[in-house]
Amino acid sequence: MHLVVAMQAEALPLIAHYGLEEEDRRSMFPVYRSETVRLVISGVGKSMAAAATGYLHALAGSPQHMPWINAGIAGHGDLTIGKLVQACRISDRASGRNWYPPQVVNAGLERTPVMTVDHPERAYTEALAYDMEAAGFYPAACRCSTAELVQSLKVISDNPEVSVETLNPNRVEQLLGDRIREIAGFTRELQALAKIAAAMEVTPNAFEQLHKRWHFTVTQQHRLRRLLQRWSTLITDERELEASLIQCRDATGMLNALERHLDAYPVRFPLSKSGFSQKSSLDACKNA
Amino acid sequence: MINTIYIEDEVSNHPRVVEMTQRFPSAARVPCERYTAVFNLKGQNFRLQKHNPSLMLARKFDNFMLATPQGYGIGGLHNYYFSHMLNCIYDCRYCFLQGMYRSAHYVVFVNYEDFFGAMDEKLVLHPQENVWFFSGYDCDSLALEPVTGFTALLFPFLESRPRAMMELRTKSTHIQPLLGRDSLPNVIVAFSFTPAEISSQFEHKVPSVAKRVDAMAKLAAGGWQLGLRFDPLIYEEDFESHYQKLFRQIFERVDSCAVHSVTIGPFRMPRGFFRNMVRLYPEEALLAGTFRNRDGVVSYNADREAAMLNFCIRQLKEYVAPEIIYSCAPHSRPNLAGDSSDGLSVAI
Ligand code: SF4
Repeated sequence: MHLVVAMQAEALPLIAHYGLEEEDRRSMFPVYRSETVRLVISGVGKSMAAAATGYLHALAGSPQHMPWINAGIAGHGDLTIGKLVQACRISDRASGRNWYPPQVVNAGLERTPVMTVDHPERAYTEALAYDMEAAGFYPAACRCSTAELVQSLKVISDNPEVSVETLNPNRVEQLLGDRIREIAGFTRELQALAKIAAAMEVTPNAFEQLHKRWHFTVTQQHRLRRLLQRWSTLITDERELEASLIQCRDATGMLNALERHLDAYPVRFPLSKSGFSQKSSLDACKNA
Repeated sequence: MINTIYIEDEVSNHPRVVEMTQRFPSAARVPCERYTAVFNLKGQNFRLQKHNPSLMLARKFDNFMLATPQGYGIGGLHNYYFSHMLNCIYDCRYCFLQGMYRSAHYVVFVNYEDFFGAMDEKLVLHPQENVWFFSGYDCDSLALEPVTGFTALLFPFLESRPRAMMELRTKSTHIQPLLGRDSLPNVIVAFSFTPAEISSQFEHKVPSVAKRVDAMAKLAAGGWQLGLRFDPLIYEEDFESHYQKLFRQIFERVDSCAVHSVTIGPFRMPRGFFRNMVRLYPEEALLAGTFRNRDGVVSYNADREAAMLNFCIRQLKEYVAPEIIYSCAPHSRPNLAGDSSDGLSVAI
């Protein structure tokens, strides 16, 4: 899970909740981490948010299918102070561009459009949330992960009745801290979704082993991966796999033998073997 | 349950939009310029979205009625299909929509009148002749009916246009709008089936075979003409016994006199769509079987396909006249004894 926040005060409740430790004091942006969560403090503004997102992605080794959350405070035209909302549209006031984070996670949060502004909003002219980072964060994070896994959560900190001037670091920390359970709940749902996305890319067990044994062209590697996926779905038994390949002398022969073996395999539905069952063991990850 | 509704600015005040959004009072309403800005974006994942699709209310501007692909039809000369919706509330693992679209959101084009206008244009184009219109090509015709209310307008339109022949293709058992009114001679309610053993494994969220058969029996009793669609045919070792059982199960309850047409079509999928489906569901047993790329179309090998078609045709002939059995697979026709391959859908 990658978290992008603008200010230290927004980060503190998250750092405490996830037990994060500072990664490197001298880094370009402050980064905190545990085994499964990384948090970057971007500083205020959309350019900073975009840069920090890219920085964290590179620092983490450019992982695919990582859930990304931008968490922070926002003003709102009519919602009450302290409410946690999920961005269903992100607009950049300066450029007029809009983005629509897919609303797949349903954690019971209110959904609201978010308008990213370059200066703190004091007029609250529309019934939407005003922040300063989402429009920088979102398109940058969408380059790192599938759009469903990129979300922005905002705690309402000011509105027409309570001015943005009343905010100070303690108040911001308290606002985020009061919603930490809901943020964590949303995060869990997003992580479950990310597991499903990651499983779509899983390389079958035998791939590396066979790849070492023979030389495969890139096209052959794709074919091998797919044949092994079919194997793990239909047959699963790796000893049988080994036995069927024992006579093969090269990559082409091996791939053909594998394909012949699979094509001759009698498929019966509903599939009774122990491999991936239809209700999908991947989908089961959602509740894991 | 719909949590989010995207509404194109242009239709935000459309009475149908107002009505549809009222059905989901707690859903977030998200204005957007065009639905395509959300639906067609790169970097989306259909499988993830299928966990909780949103609704999109939009306006369609052109291409309301499109000519059907070669081989698609049930005996008519002039065949068109249309999609007043995109995507489906069900989740069949063989469905081409998941290979075709980037997004799993349900799109409803609310300007129904423009679809009706386009049908009228086709009727004018083919004077004195019947013109066939196929609904349910990029969606299920009836599954989202409680939200769309499409048939409430379609049926009166068809009543006054007897040359407009309409197929509603569905796996839904939501047939109340049909049972609550007189049947129409120019409407075929076509139900799609795979055997129960396959349906339970691959047709997620779809009413059971038994429930669909029950719905057909009720519609037949109400005087509606029915269609049977065995498309795609799915291969497995027990193919023959499973399909035999399916046909028996249907015709035990449904009077064959009520059956207007039966179509069969083997599994076939443009290669790009198939690839996308495998990418989404690499562990999927249905896609792990033996397929061949035949001229850019992924299907079973020609022998297997012919054997499946021939078996089904033989079996179906025991229940219905051969004249009402149609094949949807042009490239498999040369394998069928005595068949022509003129590119038109033909009775077997
Ligand atoms: S019912 Fe039809 S349209 Fe819907 S998912 Fe199944 S195959 Fe696709």
